[in-house]
Order: sequence, then structure tokens, then C-alpha cells
Amino acid sequence: MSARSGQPGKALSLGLKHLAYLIIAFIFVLPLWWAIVSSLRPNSAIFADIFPFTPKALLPAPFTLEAYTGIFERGFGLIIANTMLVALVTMAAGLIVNGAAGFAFAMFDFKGKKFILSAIIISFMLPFEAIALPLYTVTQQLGWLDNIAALIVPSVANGLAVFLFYQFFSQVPKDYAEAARLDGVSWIDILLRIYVPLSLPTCISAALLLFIFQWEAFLWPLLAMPSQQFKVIQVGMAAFQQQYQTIWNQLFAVSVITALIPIALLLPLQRYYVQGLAGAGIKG
Amino acid sequence: MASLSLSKVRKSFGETHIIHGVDLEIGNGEFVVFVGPSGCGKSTLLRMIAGLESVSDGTITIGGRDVTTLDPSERGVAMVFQSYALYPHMSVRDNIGFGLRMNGMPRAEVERKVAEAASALHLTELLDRKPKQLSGGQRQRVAIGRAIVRQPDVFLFDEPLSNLDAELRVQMRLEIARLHAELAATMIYVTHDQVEAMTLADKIVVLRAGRVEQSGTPLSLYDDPANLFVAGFIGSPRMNFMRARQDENGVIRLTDYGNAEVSLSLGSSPQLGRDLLLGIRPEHFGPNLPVRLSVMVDLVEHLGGASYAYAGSGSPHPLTLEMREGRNVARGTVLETGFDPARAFLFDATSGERIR
Repeated sequence: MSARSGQPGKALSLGLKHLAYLIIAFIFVLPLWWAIVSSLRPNSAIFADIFPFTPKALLPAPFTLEAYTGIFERGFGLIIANTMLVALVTMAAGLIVNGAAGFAFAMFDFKGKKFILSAIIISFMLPFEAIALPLYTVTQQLGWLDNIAALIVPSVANGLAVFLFYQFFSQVPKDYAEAARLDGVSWIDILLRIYVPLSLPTCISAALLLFIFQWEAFLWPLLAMPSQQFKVIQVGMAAFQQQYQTIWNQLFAVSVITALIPIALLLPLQRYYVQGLAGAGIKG
Repeated sequence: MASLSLSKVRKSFGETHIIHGVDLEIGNGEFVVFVGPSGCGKSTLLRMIAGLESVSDGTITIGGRDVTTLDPSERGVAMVFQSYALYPHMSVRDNIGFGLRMNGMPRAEVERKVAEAASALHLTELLDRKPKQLSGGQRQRVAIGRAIVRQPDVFLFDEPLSNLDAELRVQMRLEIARLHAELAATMIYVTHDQVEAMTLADKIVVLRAGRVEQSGTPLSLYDDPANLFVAGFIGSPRMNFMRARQDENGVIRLTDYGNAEVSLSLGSSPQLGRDLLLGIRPEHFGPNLPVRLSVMVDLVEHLGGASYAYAGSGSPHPLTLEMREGRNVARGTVLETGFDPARAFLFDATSGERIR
């Protein structure tokens, strides 16, 4: 009796739960969805169904790809290519530099190790705005302003990435390195052939970290590239808003592409990314 | 193959001294076991020989060559780690051949050497597996294979069997003994298990707190321990110690057993009034022997071939008696037993020195 009377109540509460999930999911997805929908409308119809609001506002109607063709005609393809170049070079160089630094901190004892390690940890806690000005001065004195090196070189060494590698490498049993040393394996081979294969999730986490860091950089490219000959994506996106008028559908198209590229990169590697970051905490 | 010698070898971490001047000669082809309780420095000493720990003072020579400051790879040693240290992302084949390949040996030759080692260790069918897919004993054999292919002068084993279950330990112990016989190589083996030490060693080195307490053949240590520590450490069940004193007439008497008289033939007489301990091994008790004792049995263990009677449990000096005949002794009964003073060892209770 009680079991039967319990059934409808249970179903109701399950229904309510899922309704709540749906609403929450909707709230989260709405901005991205609205950006996608708006990028697929003609500029004149962007705000058409919002005041007053009709459900049609959530559908890409009238449908057009003119915003996407428009941004590529205005050189957005080059901006993506620029950013990719900067981000990928930073990523590759950063993996080598930060991986080697993390390995050195994990493997060797040297004078001042604790101090340098603390400095590195503090370095990634500092907000970028705090070092932007001194960094600008150094870059200027090197004559690197408006040079792509100004975008890449300061971002290669990343405190968080060093720390990530250090954390992982110091958890790998020392026996591997010792066994290899007895076999006459050089330190560089110990790093590349034993530690790197064992730390693939950490490498992927660090790579994504470096990539996204560059992908999202706005303030520094704006400062370091004053003539705006070489534009990266965040700076380029801002320009879409200012030039003559705000072309909303194009701005949305740019935002969608800017958001989708890192997502496309992150999704297949997400498993490793989470594993790398989570593992760094638990095992320590 | 090579001989090895340690001369006044010391190791300190700042003010903490781990190894206090060890002198040791190890002959060509000898199987030497370092044994001692945990923290005695035996693993540190092995790692110093391997070159994984620096030497604070003294010299290490291998095959007449001073290797004290050489890099581990230049010493001609190979080591089997307690954890095996097999590279988890490599197959058995790559694990065994890794060191050779990294030293620039041609691929075909590496293949041949790996195949040779694998067949000697019955690993041929497992060559393509990853360490994760192997049992403990198989991993152990891979680790040994990795050492063999390098054809080192000296093999070092750091507690290699301590991660295996009891049955596998016995089996691997035999394999290591067989390997030593086949390769006739110099081997140094670290363990805290005195049974492993007794069964494997040509020479046992007993270490305590960074000092060599005694070194010698297993039987010489068993039959002629230099001090209380070695007497208690070597042998299972361990040697029994009974409190003793010398009376005014120079006679040694067992204070806990009705002042029973033990007539020992000693070269030097102990100092008067010192606390003494008389050591006697469990298997040397028996009926109808010159020194008579009656003990209250607390517990009896039957192992089949022998039985052990335990007496005086809880007291500072309990007794373990091995019985091969007349084994129907029950708990709580009084056992009349005895020993031959010729089998007994006398120690100074304070300094631990043997009095001969």
C-alpha cells in the first residue's frame, strides 16, 4: 500500500529535480547559445525578437552566414593565424623550459633551491597588471616592441607550469632515475624517455595552460604591439567594436570562434587535463 | 667480476653520522650479505658502493680501481632495487635493453643480449608485456635481467625479496643462489632477514648503527658470535640469554635458575661483580646434560619436525627450547631440561662483549 502510494510522489520529485537541472543548464548555456544564434542573424535583426521578447529570439531566424563571411573578409583569418602562431610557439617552448625547470627542482639539490622555488610560486600569484609596466620597460629597451618576440618570450616561462611539473616529477619514485643512472643514461634521456612518458597528463595540462594563457592575453599584446600591425585575437575582437560602428552579428561571430577554438582543443584532452591537475593535489 | 674493498668508509649528513668507518674486503665472485636491523645503514652502504650516495670519507675500490668519486655508470655495478624500478611505460624487452640502447649498442646486439637474459630467466614469453601485467616474482626476474645484460663487475641487491610473499621468497632465493653459481659474479645483497643471509651468503656482514659488528661465513657467525648483538641476531628462533654472575670462587652461576653452576673453560676471567649473560641456542637444550634446569612451560608450538617450548614469557629473559623427542609437553607443566656448558657463550651484559 505504502509502496504504491509512494510511487507517484517519487516520480513527481524526480520530475521536479530534472526540471531544476534543465533550468540551471539553460541558464548556463543561454549566453553561448544566444551568441551563436545572434552570429547567424543579419545585423539588422539582432534585437528584433527581444523587445518585446518572443521565443523566436532563441532561434537563428532569419538565418544568414553573412557575419562569418564578413569577418574573414575583414582579415579575421590572419588574426586567428597570428594567435595560433604565438600560442603554439609559446606552448612548445614553454613545455621545454618549464618541464626542464620542474625536473631540475625535483631531482637536484642546490643552493637557494627553496628560495627560487618560492619565488616561482609567488610569481604566478602576482596579477599580470603588477608586472606589466616593468615588463614593458624591459621589452622597450630590448627593442622588441611591435616584434612577435615580445608576445612569446615573456610568456614561455610560466610559474604555474613549473610548479605543475615539479609537483609531478617529485612524486615519481626516485628509483627510476637511479636505475637509469646506473645504466649510464644521461639526465636529458632520463627526462625525455622516462619522466616525460610517465607525465603525459601533466604535459598536456601544462600545454593547455600555456595555450589558453596566450589565447586569452589582451592587455600585454595591446601594450607590446602599439602599431597594431600584428594583431592577436583578443585585441582584434575589441577592434570589431570600435572601428566605425558596432556590427553586432560580426562581433558575435568573432566571439563564437574565439570561444570554440580552445573548447575544440580542450574537449578531447579534457580527461588528461583534469587528471593532471587533480593528481597534482591528491598525491602530494 | 671483480673484488671490492671498502677502506674507512664514512657517511655523514651534516652532524648525523650514518656510517662510521667501515673496512671490508670482498673477494672476486663472493656472495656477501649485509644484514642488520632497519636503520643500521646497510642500504646506505650499498648505495654508496653503487655511487648513488656520496662518500664523506674513505675509499671504495672495485677490481683495484678507485671508484670513490666516479659516476654510478662508470663503476661497473648493476643494482636490483627493492621496488624493482621497472619503467612502467616500457615492455619487458625495452626495460631489459634500455640501458644498452642508451649507451649506443647496435639494435641487433641489444636484441641478442635481451633474448639471452630472458631465456636464462624464463622471461621469453613475457617480453612484450608491460610491468603492470606481471606478477611480483616475474617483475623481480625482469629487474635481475636488467642487471645481467650489462655484465657488471659487481651485482648489488637492495632487499630484493621483501615485496614478495613467503612462498615466492623461498623460490626466488633459490633462483638468486642458482644465478650466483652460474655467473660466478661478485654479489652484494642487503636484507634484514637473517634466514636469507644464512642461506645465500658466502660471507655475512652484520651491521648495527653504521658499524660492522662482525663479518664471516654464515656458520662461523652462528657458531662463534663475537658479541651479544650478533649472537641474538643470527639464528632463528634466536639464542636464549640467561642472567649469570660469578661468585667469589670464580664459578659462573645462573641467578634465575637456583644458582645452577656452569663450569666454563674461559681464557680470561670476567671482572668480578659484572652482570653476565649466558647464551644458549634453543636446539642445545636437552635432557641428561650436565647443567640441569627445570622450567615452567608457557606455550608449546609443534612445527612437525621439531617443537618449541616457551618459558618465562614476559620476563626480560624468556627461554625457547627446541625439542625433537619427548614432545608431549603440555602448557603449565614443569620441564626438566639441561645443556652442555661447552655449547654456551658468555657475554658481558653491559658492554655486550663476548667473554672467551
